[in-house]
Amino acid sequence: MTKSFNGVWGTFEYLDETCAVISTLREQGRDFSVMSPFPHHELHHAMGEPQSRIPFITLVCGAVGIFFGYAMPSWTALDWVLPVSGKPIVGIPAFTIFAFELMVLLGGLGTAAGIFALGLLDLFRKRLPVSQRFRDYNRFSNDRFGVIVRCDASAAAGVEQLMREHNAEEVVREFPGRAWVDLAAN
Amino acid sequence: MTAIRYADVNADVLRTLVRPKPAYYLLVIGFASALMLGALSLAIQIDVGLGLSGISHPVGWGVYITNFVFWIGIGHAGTLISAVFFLTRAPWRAPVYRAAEAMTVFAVMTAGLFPLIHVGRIWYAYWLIPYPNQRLLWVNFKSPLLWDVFAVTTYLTISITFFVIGLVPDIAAMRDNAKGLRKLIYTSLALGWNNSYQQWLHYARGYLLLAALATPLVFSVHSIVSWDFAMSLIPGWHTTIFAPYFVAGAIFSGLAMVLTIVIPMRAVFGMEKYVTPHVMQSMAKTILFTSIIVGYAYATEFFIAWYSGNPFERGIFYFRPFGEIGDLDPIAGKGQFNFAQWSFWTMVFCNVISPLPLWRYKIRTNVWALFLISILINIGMWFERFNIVVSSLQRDFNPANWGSYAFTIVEWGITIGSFGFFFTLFVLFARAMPIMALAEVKEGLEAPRRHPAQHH
Repeated sequence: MTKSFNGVWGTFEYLDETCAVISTLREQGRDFSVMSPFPHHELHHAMGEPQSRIPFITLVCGAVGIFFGYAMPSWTALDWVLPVSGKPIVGIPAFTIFAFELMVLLGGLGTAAGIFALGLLDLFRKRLPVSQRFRDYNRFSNDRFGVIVRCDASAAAGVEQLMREHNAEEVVREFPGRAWVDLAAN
Repeated sequence: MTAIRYADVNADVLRTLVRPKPAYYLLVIGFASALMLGALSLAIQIDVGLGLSGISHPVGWGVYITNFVFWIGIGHAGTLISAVFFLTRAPWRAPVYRAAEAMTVFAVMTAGLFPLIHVGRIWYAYWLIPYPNQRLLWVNFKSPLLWDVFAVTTYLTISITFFVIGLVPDIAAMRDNAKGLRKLIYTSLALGWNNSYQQWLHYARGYLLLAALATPLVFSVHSIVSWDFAMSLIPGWHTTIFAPYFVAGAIFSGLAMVLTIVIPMRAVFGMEKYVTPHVMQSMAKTILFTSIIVGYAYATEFFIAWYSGNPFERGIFYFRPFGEIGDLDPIAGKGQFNFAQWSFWTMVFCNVISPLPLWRYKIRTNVWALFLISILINIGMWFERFNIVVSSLQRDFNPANWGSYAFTIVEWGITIGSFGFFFTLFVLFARAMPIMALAEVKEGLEAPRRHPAQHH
């Protein structure tokens, strides 16, 4: 994990060209991120169908809900026994409702928390550009796709060329610590 | 919808958030006034006591419980549209699901007030929460009323969760177009959303799982609400058909309320190209389908009451449509055809007869007709709840125990106030947040491609 971003980012208008760039970058084994106004299955295929860890969180939280849904009413029933008409003290059918409700409640809340927690965690794992130009770019939530490649300066030219070949609208190099190298190259 | 571009979606939806016309403020004032009327009525009831309402022996559950069941039912359409129709991949849900989800949240919030209002001493509302009393005795986990507490609070929480998760990417879009203080507010509300595919990956997976969790929840909540009645022994309540009957009715009334809200919203915000006749028609078909289920349930109740041979069941199912035995007899009858019977026939007309024109394509695509039918269904479903709750309590097993129920001006005020509460929240929401989910609508559009023929 690097502290700051070094690499190239480009913006695209068309989905097919974005997918073509992503596929090539994946074949080259590059470390990249994709920006998109919404999740599209073609982007998912192009990225090699990455998986989220959310289902695991949902499973664990849902299981905890089921456990408490049965355990809590059972414990309260046994803690102060109130026999009614010979009915079972621990009424499993009645307590199944609590197990179900708490499974949904904890599973749902865990899932929601997981969506944002994992998303924020990925921000630290996969650094994004920090330049003002990137921060001011506001069309990823509107109508543009973006590809961000983390690479060293020696690979930048190749990535840049790949993006331009696929009609990237903007291609930006960002090497904050190596400004003098870029200046010398220009 | 092929002619719409992604940028149009953002422009069209975010346009609804600019300064509204004066008519909007009039609308807010109107609904807020109704809300104030409700608040005033509630304040008077709290001050004087529950005796101000018409609730008494033998009708201990009156308009407040009617309103509770009605509003919970209204809330069902949102989760149906956002979860069930998401899993079944119904593409027409995208333009209306945000409004339906908001409606769900506000309807369940409204519903949640009524058990508290109904019990009178609202300051003891925390007794509903499972915790041990001073003698370390816990609440009764075998009571349907406690099941209801868990069902309704879970439903409210999950509905809000669903709503918030869907809103976050749209708030990020608002942030990207905002300046100054608004940008600051939206940035904090966007929870770090930056439209990276990693975030979308977790979002899509999480949303799917939430939908999978919420789908059985939709069907369970009104089933559990129905068990508040069905688990008792009261004639007319003690029946196994209640759970599916209530769920079908809830979806029926909820979708009608979605139409009631979406039809004016579509016109006011110029959303005709998104909320197309196909979307309206699809909702109308679902309403028609659930109307048939509800009509069938009414008929089944009557058939089983007769077929069971149980005199108490037969008695209540005679009382509901016709009143006292002998009332319709022109010689011996007393000529009493009171509110219970009016509510029954209003229910039958609004819920079974009035949706029948929806069989015709022309009616399903006519917004005026749909709006009128949706209002009638809303009225009919309120009367259905009233009919179930009140009429059974009026006539239980022992004639010495029979009685009537006349609801008072305070109950009227609180009922009107509940509509004010619901609609005030909705119109404020429509002004503050996008009324359509940007990402979901875009998913329904053709993606922009340089070489359109190549995609799979």
